[in-house]
Amino acid sequence: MDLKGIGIGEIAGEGEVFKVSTTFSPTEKNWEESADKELSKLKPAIEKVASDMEQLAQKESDGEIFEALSMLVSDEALFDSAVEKIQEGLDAGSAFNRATVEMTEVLKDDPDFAERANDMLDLAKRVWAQTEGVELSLEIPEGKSLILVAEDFAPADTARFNSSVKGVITKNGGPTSHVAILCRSKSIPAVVGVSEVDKLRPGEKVLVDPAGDRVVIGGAMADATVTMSYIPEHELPIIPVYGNVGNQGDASAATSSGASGVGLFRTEFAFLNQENRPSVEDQAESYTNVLNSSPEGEFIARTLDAGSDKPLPFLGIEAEENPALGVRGFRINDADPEFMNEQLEALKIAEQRSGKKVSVMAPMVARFSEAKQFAELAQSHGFERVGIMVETPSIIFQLKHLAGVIDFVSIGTNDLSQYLFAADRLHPKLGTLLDVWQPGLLEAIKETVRQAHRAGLKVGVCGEAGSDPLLAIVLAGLGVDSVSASPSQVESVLNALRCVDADQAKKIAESAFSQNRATYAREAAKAAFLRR
Amino acid sequence: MIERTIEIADPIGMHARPAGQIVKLAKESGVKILIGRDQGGMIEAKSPIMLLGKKFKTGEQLIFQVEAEATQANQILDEISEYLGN
Repeated sequence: MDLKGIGIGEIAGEGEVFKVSTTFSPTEKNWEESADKELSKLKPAIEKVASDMEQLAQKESDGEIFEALSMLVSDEALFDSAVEKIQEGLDAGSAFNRATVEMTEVLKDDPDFAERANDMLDLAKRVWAQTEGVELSLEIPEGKSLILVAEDFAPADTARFNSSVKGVITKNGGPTSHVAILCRSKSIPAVVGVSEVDKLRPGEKVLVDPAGDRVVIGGAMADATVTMSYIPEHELPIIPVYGNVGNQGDASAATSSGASGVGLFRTEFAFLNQENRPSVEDQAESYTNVLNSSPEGEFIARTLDAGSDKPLPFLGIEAEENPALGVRGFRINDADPEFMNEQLEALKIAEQRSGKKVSVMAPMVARFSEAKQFAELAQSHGFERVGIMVETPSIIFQLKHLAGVIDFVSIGTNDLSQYLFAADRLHPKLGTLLDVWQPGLLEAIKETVRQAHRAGLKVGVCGEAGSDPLLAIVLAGLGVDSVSASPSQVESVLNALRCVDADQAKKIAESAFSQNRATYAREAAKAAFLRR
Repeated sequence: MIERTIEIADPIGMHARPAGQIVKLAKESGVKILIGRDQGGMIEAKSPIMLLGKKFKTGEQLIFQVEAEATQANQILDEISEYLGN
């Protein structure tokens, strides 16, 4: 039997269903034996959860959050309040949960603290689970072939994936959810957005078949959808393939993948976990390291793309109701103009030290005036090639004014989808709206290419769309000048782009464009590729 | 008892981590630490959640009273000041 979902990756995986319960929804109840018995359960349960959090604090890069959580769950006033509730009749878990709900009530209406209140409620659930002997923290046995099945995975869970994990199935989530991105980067086959996960039973054999956008109960590798095989026929791809890079490790991976440059260097990494603003010299050093490990050729650095959803303490961005629509990307420049100056200065130093030419681009540019402002700033720092990201639909209609102002644009398809379809990238239920084959998105890309080329600007694609080999052919057929993919996908994208010539790519693109649904567009492109 | 006024410099106010650190400091040193916006509303730093509940924001001037002799008290106050982003 097949369960439908959204496939992540190309290769299938088989194994036994391993159900992970990340939700635990008990109901409040009174103790049956004695208050003393409940009291004796409470303390060890709290201590276990606190020590789990401390362990995560040591292990994870954003450890400070877990350290703070460990302190919160061990709060004495909270403990005292829970003890009172046990004496009034509630069992240990219910009492601790009720105490937490009451104490965090006051925090909930304040945007600065609301998230901590939610974290606290999650911790209370974990303590509750401990008192009932339910294991909530994800422990994956070693040396097995497992297909993990859950409603969704939090970043703390994905950090625990080990070599036993042969595939992942989630009920929620779309192609740009945390778990999808992680599985893609680790080459773990996954199918997300599977509404019928409840039909899977622990221990049964199952095939995760991302190429078929499905899960096959009782299936084995032999049942996997035959993936498009791209056997290169030409020496060179019809358009260059670059790598998306976030740190030095990615840069080395891009080099060994055969990428002919870096189409997107995410500079955020130099600022993560920094309490204070890194100096120009510190930045220059990190950038130089990345440049030295990167492939020869193109190198496009994107200036900081932070916002209140990924806050940096030293930027002083306040919490917002809608971070994706708030002060992020280039908009930070208004709040703190010096910051971008320092970043460009550091990138220039790194360029000189590494001897590699650096081009720069700004994220989240919505107006002509912002593009011009950035271009002037970058030119004042001596950068010759300057570009902007196309993420907000508004900028597509302003490209005609940018002739001679900038040199290139790079389409960030993930954010462009989010803004085009008004669908939160991380929303667990809106995954299908963010399918990179949505005809509405493809039309927006086509229009971008048309407007940009008229203005003499080169067009790259650096979003998730550039990592899909078949879609890369369609993009090339639309006239896109280069694609940039995650290093793990560079090779398949390269192979695909070495299978076709310009005419064939154009025909494949046309057949995708004749369709009015994402699935039909993909099917039509596949069919056109096979009969080329 | 030593008293000092400290401004919260941390851009997200007194959030969970500094609140936790102050409580931990009080517990480990065995010293009573009182915090408040004014003399009338001082609370003892015993519970990080109660400190969070006071919603102390960036830029607020908070009164800290530490019940210890001067050297130790000042050391503690210096540390608290650091936790608050100063």
